[in-house]
Amino acid sequence: MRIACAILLILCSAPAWAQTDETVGTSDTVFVAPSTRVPISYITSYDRDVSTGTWSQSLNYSLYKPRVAVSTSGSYSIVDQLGRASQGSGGGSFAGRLDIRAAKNWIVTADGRYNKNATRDIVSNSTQRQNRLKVSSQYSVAPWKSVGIRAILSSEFQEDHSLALRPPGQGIARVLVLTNALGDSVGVDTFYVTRDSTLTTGRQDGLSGQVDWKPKSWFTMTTSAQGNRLKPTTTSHLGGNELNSTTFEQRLDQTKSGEPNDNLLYQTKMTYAGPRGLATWVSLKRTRTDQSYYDRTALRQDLFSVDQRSGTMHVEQPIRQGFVLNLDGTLSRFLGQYKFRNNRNSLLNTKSGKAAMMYFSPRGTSRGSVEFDVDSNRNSRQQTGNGTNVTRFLQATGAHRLSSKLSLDAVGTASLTTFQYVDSVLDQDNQRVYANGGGGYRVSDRCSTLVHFSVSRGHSVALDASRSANNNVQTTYQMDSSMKLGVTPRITISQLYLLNAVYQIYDFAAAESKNVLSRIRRIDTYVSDSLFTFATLQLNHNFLFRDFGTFSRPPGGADRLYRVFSHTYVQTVSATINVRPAYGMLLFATQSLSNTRVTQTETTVNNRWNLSLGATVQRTIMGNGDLNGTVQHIEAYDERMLPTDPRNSQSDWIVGVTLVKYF
Amino acid sequence: MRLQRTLSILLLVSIAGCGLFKPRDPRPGGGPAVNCLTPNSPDNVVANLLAHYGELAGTTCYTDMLDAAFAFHPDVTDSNELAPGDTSFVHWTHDVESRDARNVAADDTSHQVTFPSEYASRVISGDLRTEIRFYNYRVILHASQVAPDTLFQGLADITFFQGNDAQWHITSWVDKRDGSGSRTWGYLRRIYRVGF
Repeated sequence: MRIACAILLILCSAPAWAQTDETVGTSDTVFVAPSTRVPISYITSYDRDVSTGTWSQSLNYSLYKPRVAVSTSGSYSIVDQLGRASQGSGGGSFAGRLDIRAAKNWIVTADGRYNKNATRDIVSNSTQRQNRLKVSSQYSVAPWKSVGIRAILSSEFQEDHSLALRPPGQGIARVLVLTNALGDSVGVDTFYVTRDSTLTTGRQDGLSGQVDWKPKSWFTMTTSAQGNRLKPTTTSHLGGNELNSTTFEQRLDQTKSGEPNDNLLYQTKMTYAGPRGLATWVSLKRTRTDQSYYDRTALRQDLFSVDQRSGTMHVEQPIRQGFVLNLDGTLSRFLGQYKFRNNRNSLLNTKSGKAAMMYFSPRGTSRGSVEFDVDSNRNSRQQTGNGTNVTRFLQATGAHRLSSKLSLDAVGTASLTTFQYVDSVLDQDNQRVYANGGGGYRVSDRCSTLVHFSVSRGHSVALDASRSANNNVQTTYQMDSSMKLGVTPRITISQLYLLNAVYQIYDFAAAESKNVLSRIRRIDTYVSDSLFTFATLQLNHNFLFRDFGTFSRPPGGADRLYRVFSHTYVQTVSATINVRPAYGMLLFATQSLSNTRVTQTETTVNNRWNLSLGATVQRTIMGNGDLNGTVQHIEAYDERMLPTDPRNSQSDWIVGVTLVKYF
Repeated sequence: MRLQRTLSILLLVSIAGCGLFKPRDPRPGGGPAVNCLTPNSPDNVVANLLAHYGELAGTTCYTDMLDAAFAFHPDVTDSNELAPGDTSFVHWTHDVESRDARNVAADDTSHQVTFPSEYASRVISGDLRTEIRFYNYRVILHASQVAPDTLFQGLADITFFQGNDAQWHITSWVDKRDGSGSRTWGYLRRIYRVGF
């Protein structure tokens, strides 16, 4: 109470109007002079990949006047599972909003929305529809120079429909409690629901308010509160048949419920801009919501309640030239509870902190940063998974340009995530360390090279004896480099090189024989030639060599030895030609051959051919319409070495087309 | 300037050196080790998945098969069946899948995962580093959290990607119903994602 009074006192005694980034209600900026009309835009697109086809459409229109603002939008998408005609989904929404400035400080708003989601598969067709119509009245005043107050009164009419149909034999079992004339239960009866529908209606009345206070140029405080109440009435209707009966019966389970849903949101944010570039803010938030809903899995009404509190703080301080210190901290508590689905209840307490120091040299030749993060999450009141997990993360980066041509950079990270559960069998620590250093040399725009060396180490430690036998350390040493060379203005060659060694060493000596090592050499070469103004040619060659084997100590306990188990060579050659026959149109064809040679006890060879043909369009049509799209057909197969070998044929169409038209 | 650089380095060294990043030692004893194949091919990844999903001792092997950029995409109907405000399927990353799989393994008393067939041809990228497989799956799992359901069946479109270390990992998993009326793997996963 004392805190509330203090806040009220602060709000009432202070004087400035300051718009914030979290404005409650309608912003004044929607009313513009002179009038502005955003053209009607129609966007339609079709995307098809190997398994799905998606057709989307949307229509938007807006009009802004000094006293009236209108915006409407509609969208709908249909997703078909290719090759499975009975499966797919669709969904969309239509929305309209009208804002009228009835007086200088008074805005009246009507906001309507209609949403629909539908899915169909072999065993069910389901549809959910949602209608909303909200009318609100907003009044703004600035009683003092530095204070702005806004209040909104609203009523929203809500209607939710859901319908699910299942064919006979696919019903969901439902147990009904049988009662006698006195209302006492006398037994249970099971029937199989093949049709369930619900209708939820209600009116949500709400009151919102926001106060902005800016007493000084260096201090701002914004407080808002929103509350609403809804008392929905839900009628559910289940129909089905008894076991082993295909006759649809009006075996109804018709229920009505009407629990109130109360929602409350309170938030406040204070911003302070201090001397020598100090910028800091503190934000507090409290949310309490009740959401009653029809559980379509359990076929019953349920209630989901959330109680959430959080506080966030940020400090930013330039220390001296080029150095900036950032501090962030968050505390939050989230409690989610269901009326029936107790196995989803959870209380999550989160604490996180972050400290970062950044440096940018005045001349732009150097930069660096150090960051340390800690996150702690504690789960409780759950049926399973209660416990704490803590993550520590440290990162340091740096880059320096030694000359206009030569630059160096480095990054290092270390992290440890600790999981500590009440059920200690799942306790685990995940440790990661990574370091990368290298540089680049740029001779000219057409000629440059980069080289980096890195090492990464991952160690997953399961603590419980039942899981710890597989604890291992995976260490990767890698060298990456790239080279780009413009031989002529038209011909460019680029190459990527990679050398890599991955060691996987188990923690326990008993698993010594499972230790493995793999080594890689990869060279990718790309040559592109712009033959003419209307055509380009690209040649690619990818080479990969990999060996793999055990890396373990011999029985005598000497140094670990590498025993190669397999060699793999993969080479891919591909050629692509792009032709531009007309403005905004590109035709392309890619032919590739991949050769894979694996040697273990014996050598196996596989050749895979791939041909892609396609076209890309990007042009203006019908005056001010834009057509963008690509169509591609991919054909691939493996050469058979033996008549019994699988061919792994592939023949796919991939399409993505979008049309945008303004009216 | 020099002082601040020195302070930064000292801060780094002190944070790194004071044991903040040292994992705990495992408890004494030792259970049975599982055979986890090195993911040299998508086939090895699938073998590890089938062998170790839902198995307490093998959860590390299963989660090692997931790429850092792993994402799980639920069936549309499963997603529509969620309560308003239920974010169970939102932002399903590698870390979420890892914790979820551990919860499944800790709760189940028996399990069997199979891919009886592939319902569409595999898609292999031109550079052979990405492969999409379209599996029919069947998971039989006895666990208190999902009882009385024991069968989870549907379609899984799984994308495998070969990283720079030439090892294969799962980057994307799209779950779909298959028309059998059974609960999906996505439904099973959702039950075990509570509080994270």
